[in-house]
Amino acid sequence: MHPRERRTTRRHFLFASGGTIAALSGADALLRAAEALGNPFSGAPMGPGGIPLARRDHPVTLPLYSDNGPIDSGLNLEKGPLNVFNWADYINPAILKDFQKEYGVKVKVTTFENEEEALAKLTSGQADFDVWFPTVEYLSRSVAGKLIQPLNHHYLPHLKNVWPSLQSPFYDQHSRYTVPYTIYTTGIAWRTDKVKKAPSAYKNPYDIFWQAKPYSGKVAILDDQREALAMALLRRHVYDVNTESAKLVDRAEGDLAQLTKLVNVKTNVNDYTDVPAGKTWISQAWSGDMAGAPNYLPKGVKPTVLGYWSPASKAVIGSDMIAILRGAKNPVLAHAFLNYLLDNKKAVENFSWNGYIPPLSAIHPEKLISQGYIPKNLGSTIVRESDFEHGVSILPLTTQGQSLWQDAWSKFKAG
Amino acid sequence: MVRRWFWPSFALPGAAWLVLLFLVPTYAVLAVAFGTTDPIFSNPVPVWNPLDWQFQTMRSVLGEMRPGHTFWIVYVRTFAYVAISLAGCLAIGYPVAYYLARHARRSKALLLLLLIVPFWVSYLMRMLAWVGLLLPDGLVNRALQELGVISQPYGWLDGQASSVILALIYGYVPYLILPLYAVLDRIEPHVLEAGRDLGASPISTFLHVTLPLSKNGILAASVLIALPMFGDYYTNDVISGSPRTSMIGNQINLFFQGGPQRTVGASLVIILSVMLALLMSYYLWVTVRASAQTEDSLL
Repeated sequence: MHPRERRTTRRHFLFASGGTIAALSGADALLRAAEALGNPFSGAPMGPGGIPLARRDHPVTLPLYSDNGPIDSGLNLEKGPLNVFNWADYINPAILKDFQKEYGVKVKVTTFENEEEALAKLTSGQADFDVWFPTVEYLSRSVAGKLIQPLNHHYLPHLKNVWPSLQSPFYDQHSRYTVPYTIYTTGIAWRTDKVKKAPSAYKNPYDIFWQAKPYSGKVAILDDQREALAMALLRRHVYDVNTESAKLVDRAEGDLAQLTKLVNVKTNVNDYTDVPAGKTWISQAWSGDMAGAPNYLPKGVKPTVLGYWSPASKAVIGSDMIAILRGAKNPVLAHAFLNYLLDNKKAVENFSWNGYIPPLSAIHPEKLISQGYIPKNLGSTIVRESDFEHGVSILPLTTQGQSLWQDAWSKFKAG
Repeated sequence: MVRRWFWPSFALPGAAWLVLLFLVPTYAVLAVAFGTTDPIFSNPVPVWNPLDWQFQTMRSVLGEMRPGHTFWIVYVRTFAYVAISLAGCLAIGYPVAYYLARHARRSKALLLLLLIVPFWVSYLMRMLAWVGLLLPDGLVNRALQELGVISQPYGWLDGQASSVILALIYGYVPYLILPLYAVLDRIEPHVLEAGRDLGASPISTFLHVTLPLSKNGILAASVLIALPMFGDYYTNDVISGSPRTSMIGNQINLFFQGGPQRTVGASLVIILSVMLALLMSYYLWVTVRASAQTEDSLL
């Protein structure tokens, strides 16, 4: 029987509640215990590191380890410098300046291009960072590998500003290890001045890619195996975008391969520059990228040439987060930094620079348009709490599942 | 005793460099390809003892090398792109090197300096500049429209194989010209004069004297640019991004960038290295044979 089909047992509850897990040290011990109990995390597939894979219908409480606890309450702030490890161009430099001024410390930012590169650096033991911006896909592994430390919520009063549904998200129940940073949808961007029919005009909006022959060479999908194959699955009304069914994944690959034949599809993550520049007319895109795309329009071109669509229901919703590394030399300061980024005003200031919406209750979509942060025609890039609730999430896979998706992607990319 | 070791010791830094930065990394690639992956972070776990090596990944990668399969398609495309780009580089580079060696007199120093200028800018930056030129409203399209050659902007960046090949030529041609110039410049003028004295036309002199004497230079320069071209992945990424133009470097990058199959990436590196080693063997064989012939003719 597939692990997904197993039913909840009492052992699952005991295991997931943390009491049993806290007594075990090390992922190997956890894995062995899990195996001995016949996978007590029933219903959810087991991920690398022996922690069940988080699913919307199987929330995960990440384990606590006796040798990796949260810091005590009431500690004094360290003197820094605070070392932040973040994606390139993902935080407003003005926010960093304000934080430095307010706390009288220096903040050093080191950037990474992708999560694998970040992990390689973090697991090498040579890195010396306090704060890291992981994704859901690598969260449970980072916990199992004891890369990050549990949070002490006494230092995070602004966590209450976060949407209720993300204060204890399904991938990290009780926000044990992370706080949310940004939220975004994956959808379709297009040039309204070049493309005759908007995605919403199609019976199945995803068909815009497969019917884009007149725009051959001007069509792109994200160079991200999970996002691209997930779009092909959604087009076929397969909403389990974390499926490990070889049949479904292969069919999705075949559909993408059709795009190569039909429209010579390009793969990249330049949606925010290529669509404004006119290099690409139809592109799979992230909402945050398109919210920031008007900044990349050539002089004299109005933002009305840009369009963005994502489904009202079952859109792919991504949630990036912030964590504190286990080896942080400034853990109290790091907590203060996380709290700072969850401040309503600071979060909006940060959004005004990077285009990615922080999931805070005080941020009203209408205001973002009326205050000029987002052009009216790109109002669809705004993500609401209801979008998160009705969306689908790209989540970690088992090791076999990862290989299955990667092989399909390799086959598609071979052309 | 000291004298015996004096001159050979000059090779020590080079030998140490070779061992540290070539042999050790090559063995590391083998240890990764035939090794395992850590179960949590999917980082490669090299297996250093050849007795413990596992070969199933290599077997499945070789299975994908059969005609029509994933890696076969990419390898064939890569070889085709490199061959065409090499021919393009030679077509452009040889006349330039020939002019520099034989006819550029006072301007030789300036022209050589201009040839070195591209090395001041990184390859990636030059490719990004190339993108700027080829954009729909870039300089190339605007110039062609002004001249009336095209009425609409041409989609140079629409995933065209021709654009990738042109970019490869643009990127690598300076590396070909300099070694070729060095060889052509060393050809003694009196050898050419002897050919002409014996009644050969300029074309005949070129075909029967200059070209054969520069054969080794052509081979050396070709090897110099072909090797990095085979492993190139960013030219395709920056200029095209289409699966139709992906090269083997892109597949290696795909498996090394993430996921639990770094062993596949390492296996692809080994297969490519073996193929290139075979090509290099041909180059070495030709070079050794040529030097043997030269020695024979001097006796």
